[in-house]
Amino acid sequence: MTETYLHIRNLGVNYGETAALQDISLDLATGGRLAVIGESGSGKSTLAMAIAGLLPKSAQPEGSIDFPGFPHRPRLGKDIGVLFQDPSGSLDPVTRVGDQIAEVIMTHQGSGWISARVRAVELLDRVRIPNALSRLNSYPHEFSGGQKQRIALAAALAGNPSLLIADEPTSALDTVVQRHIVNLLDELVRESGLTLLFVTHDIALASERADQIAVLYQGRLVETGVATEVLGQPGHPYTKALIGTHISLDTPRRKRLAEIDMSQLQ
Amino acid sequence: MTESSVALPVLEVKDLAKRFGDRGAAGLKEVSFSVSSGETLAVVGASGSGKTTLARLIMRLANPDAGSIHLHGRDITALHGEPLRRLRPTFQMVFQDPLAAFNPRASVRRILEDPLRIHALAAKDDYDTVIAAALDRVGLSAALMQRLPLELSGGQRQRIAIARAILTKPDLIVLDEPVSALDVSVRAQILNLLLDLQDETGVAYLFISHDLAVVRAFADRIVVMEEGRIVESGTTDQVLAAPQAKATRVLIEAVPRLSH
Repeated sequence: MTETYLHIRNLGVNYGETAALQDISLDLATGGRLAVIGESGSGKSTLAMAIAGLLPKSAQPEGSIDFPGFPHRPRLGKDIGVLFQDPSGSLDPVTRVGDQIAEVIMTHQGSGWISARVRAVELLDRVRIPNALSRLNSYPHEFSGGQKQRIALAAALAGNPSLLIADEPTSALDTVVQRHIVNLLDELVRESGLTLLFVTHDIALASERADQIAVLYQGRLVETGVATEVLGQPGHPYTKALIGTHISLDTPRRKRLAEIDMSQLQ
Repeated sequence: MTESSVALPVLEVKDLAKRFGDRGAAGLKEVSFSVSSGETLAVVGASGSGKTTLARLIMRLANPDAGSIHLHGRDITALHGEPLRRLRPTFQMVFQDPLAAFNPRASVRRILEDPLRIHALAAKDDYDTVIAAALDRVGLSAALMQRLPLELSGGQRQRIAIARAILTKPDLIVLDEPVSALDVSVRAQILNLLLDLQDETGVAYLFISHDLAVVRAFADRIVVMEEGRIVESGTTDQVLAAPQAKATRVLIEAVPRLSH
C-alpha cells in the first residue's frame, strides 16, 4: 500500500476579497510525481507556494495541508526543496555558487565548512556543471540560464529533501535546454526516490513526466487523477480544450490553429 | 522580361557576419537567405545560436562586420540617420516581451500614436479613428486606449505590439519569439491573428523561434542556426520530415510529446 506524502483538504487562499485558490483537495503519494497544470491566474503557483509554506503574509489560507509522515511541519530546504522559474531569483547574485550550496548543507546537515564544500562539488557534478571544482568560486552571472537552473537545482537538493517542488522550472528556457533540465530532474528524482510536484503550463511536458495530474482553472481544481486516464479520457471541458489546442510536431502547417473557446467552459 | 517585372525578395541577406568580444568570437558567420512577400521564414536554433543577433542586424539596431542586407533590392547595410528613419515604417519588429518594448508610463493610445506622429502617417485629427481601427483589427476594444501596459494581460500586450507594427503598413515584420511567453490558450489566438494579417496584407514574416512545433504550424520555410551559422535550410515539411543537421534533430527531439 502506498503511503501518503501530502494530504490537502479544502485548501483555499485569499488575498483580501480575491480568491486565488478555492476548495482544493488533493493527495500525493510518497515517491509520486504530480504535475499541476494551469495557465496564468489558475492558482498553480499559489498552490505550490502554499505547500512549500512560502505564501506571502498578505495571503489568508484556509483548509488543511498535512504531511502524514512527519511529526512536525516539514522544513523548507531540509525536507522540501523548491526550484523556481527564474533561477536568478533563487540564487544570490553576490555570493559564490559554491558558498550558496555549502551554506544549505551546513544549515541542514550540520556539516563543517570543508565537507560542505566537498559535497557542493558532488552536487554540481550531479547536475552536470562541467569542471565543478573550478566553478565553486564563480558567481551566478558567470553561468548561462540553463546552468543557473542546474545550480538552483543543486541548491534545492543540498538539504537532502524528500519532496521537490518545481514551479515552472523550464518556462524561461529554450526547448533544447528545457529538454536537458527536465531529463536531469527526472533522473535525480528517480535515483533519490524523491516525491515531485511539478508546476507547468505545458500539458505535453506534464504528460511525459508525471504519474498524476491536477488541472487548475481559475483557482479551482477541475480535474485530477492518474496521468494516462486524465489525458486519455479527460472529463472536464477545460482539460479537453488544453489537449485539443496543443500544438505538436504533427500540427499541419497553415491551417488555423485550434483556440480555446472560453464561453464553453462556464 | 523587363527588370521591373522581376519580383525582388522583400528581404535579402548575404554573407552576413558579426564578431563579438576581443577574441573575435563568432556572433554570425556567412548567413545568407531571402524572404518573399507573403512568406514566413522561420529562423530556429537553441540559445546562443545567433538568432537574436541576426534580428538586431536586420532591424539595423547593430552593424554587421561583413555582408549585406537588402530590403526590396535596396541596400540598407550601411544606412543611417534620416534615410534609415524614412525607411523604418517598411520593416517592423515584435518582441518576445512587449513589456520591455513599451514605455511603461505611456498609455495604449500614446504607444500607438507614436508611429503615426513620427512617420506622419495620419492627420492629428484622425489619430483616434486610426488607433481605434488598429485596435479593432487586433481584436481589442477601443476602451483599452487609456490603459498602461502593466494593466494589460500578456496576450493583450502582444496584440498592442502587433497593432503598433501594422500601423505603418510594413512589408516585413521580424517576430522574435512572439508567443513563447504566452499561455497556451492565448498562443493560438496570436498566431491565428498573425496568419490572418499576412493573408490580408501579404506582409513577410521572419519568425524567430526555438519551438519547432509552433514553427511547423506557422512557417513556410526554415533556416536552422547553430553557433552563428546556418546549418540547414528548406521548406518546413522537408526539414522536419528529413532533418540533416544534428542541431535540427536536437531541436526536434526537444519538443515535448503529448502522450495519452
